[in-house]
Amino acid sequence: MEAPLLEVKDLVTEFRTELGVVRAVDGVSFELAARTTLGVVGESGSGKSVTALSIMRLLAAPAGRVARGEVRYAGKDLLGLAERDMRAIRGNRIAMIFQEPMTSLNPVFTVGSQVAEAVRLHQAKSKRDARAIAIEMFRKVGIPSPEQRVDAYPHQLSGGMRQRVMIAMALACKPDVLIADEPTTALDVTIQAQILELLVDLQRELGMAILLITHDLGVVAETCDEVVVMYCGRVVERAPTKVLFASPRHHYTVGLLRSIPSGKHRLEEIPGMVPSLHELPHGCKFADRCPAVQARCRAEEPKLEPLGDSLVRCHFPKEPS
Amino acid sequence: MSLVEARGLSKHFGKRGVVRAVSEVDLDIAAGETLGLVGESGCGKSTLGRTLLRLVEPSAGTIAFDGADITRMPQRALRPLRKKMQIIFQDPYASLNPRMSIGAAIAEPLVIHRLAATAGERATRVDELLGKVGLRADVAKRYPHELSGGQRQRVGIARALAVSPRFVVCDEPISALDVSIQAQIVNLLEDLQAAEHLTYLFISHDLRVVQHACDRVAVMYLGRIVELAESETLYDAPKHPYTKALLSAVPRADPNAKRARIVLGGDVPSPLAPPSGCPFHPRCPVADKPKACFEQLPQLRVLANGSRAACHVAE
Repeated sequence: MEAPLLEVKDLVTEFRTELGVVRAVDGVSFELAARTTLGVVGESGSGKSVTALSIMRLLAAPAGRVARGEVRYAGKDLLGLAERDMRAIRGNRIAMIFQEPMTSLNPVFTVGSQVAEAVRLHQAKSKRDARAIAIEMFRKVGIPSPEQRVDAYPHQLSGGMRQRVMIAMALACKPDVLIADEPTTALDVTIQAQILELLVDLQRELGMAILLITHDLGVVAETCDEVVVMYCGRVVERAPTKVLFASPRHHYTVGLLRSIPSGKHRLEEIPGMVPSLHELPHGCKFADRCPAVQARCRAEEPKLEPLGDSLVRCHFPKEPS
Repeated sequence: MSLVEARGLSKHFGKRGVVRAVSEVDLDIAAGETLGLVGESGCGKSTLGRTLLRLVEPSAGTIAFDGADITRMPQRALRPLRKKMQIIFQDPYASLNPRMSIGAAIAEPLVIHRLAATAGERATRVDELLGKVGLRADVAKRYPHELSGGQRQRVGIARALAVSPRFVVCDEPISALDVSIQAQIVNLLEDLQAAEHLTYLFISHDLRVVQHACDRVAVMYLGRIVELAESETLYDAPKHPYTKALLSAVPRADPNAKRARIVLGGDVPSPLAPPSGCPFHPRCPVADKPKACFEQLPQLRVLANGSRAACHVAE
């Protein structure tokens, strides 16, 4: 096992709102090694995107702030860095791509100039060399006729092509870590297949670690080595992908896997809905929706504890299957 | 007899540079069935659904509902039929008026179609509809922003059911919802279908849900139906190369599954300038395509296994 490239320890992120301070992320820890892909799964409000933004130090200040915890990249604590030093890492050593490529690209500049700008921000390159790198990256991410496409504006490209541009931009500086926040959610399935395949190929070639945030367990099964399942800002289960799918232990993970349609039998539902961060229950946050709930679950919040090959936050985990 | 029947149905948008959103679609939807309509964004599936309801006026072809030709029926004559044909939209945030209470939103169709004589009658009916979709009666006093996405979608369903329809177009009814809520809404739609004898056109890009929920499935590409089959047949033995690629692209929630993925090159061509011959030919992975693929538009034809596919080479 290689030393982790990226280490998140006991991360707590809070937001000030009209109704008081809420904890969007509460005590999240994980490690990410080179050449591996870690999936972060959860529903809206589970804190998976806020975790990513906290790592990148892109939280909307002053409302959002990291209240506690560490984010270590190659041994350095990113949270303690001066903004100037962070800028040398963000986009350079740790890059990020987002769900909606249209809103992440500037509509009034050509896509090539935006990739070249990202290169020149971190490397001493002439405009001409940066443009050549942009063209090379466009070729690498499978954009047809890259010499012409660098001069296109974002609106002239399809959604799949725009996401390729974002990936080209993110990888132009050959980062060690790529954080991909729902990179294929806005895309059609045939285009999603292209993009996932591309990410896997590029990882093989460039060796970067990928933190893949998604709500789609199918995408996780196909691309991730390890999975973190989040609920209400907490990690509720963490396991190698094969272990998680073969033998989920937290009842939320079990419910998510069972609600995937397969065949004609009636779908199994998770009853109720995710509680508001303003009115989180005491004890286990999943208790109100859990089929195995007992009195202890409502009184005392379980800790994330080792169980076989998994880490599980549950007083009464499912028996291994 | 079919409840809904479309023949040669087309919808073109624009005067210069015509977008052929829906082209020459023949479709029969039998009473009581759920017909799935799948395809990628821009393939025309939503436009087809809306054209069947005449929410969008067709450019050519005919639509019959319960035996009556409604293609050119004046709006006044169409109004009583509108009660029989409803739609549920994808985004329950955008389809509810933020300033109207949930009770008022559900009562609105009752008022428009004069289905409740008094305020008391309306309130009783709203209560009953909320119960049907699994919401508590006190939700009637609340406003859309106070509800979750899943609850809002239940309100959208209650509104559609208020007029006791026979045919409901479900246009991506679960796409905007969280995974744990999707199963709740799919089960609700199935329960309501059984209880109210509904016929569904289920439009979705989620092929797993369509497989689960639908009796038959139509696959659209660039405004045309390219394959139509019983759900089981289509998923077990897809015939059109596009259907094969589409199904193989669905990520499977099984890390041990062997993948035989057909990754299509390129993007969906613009419906402003569809390719000649078979509209799928520039992306079609079939090797050694016959000349016909480049020159002739393939028509839907019945294959040996009962599927219908618009493809020169499918067998």
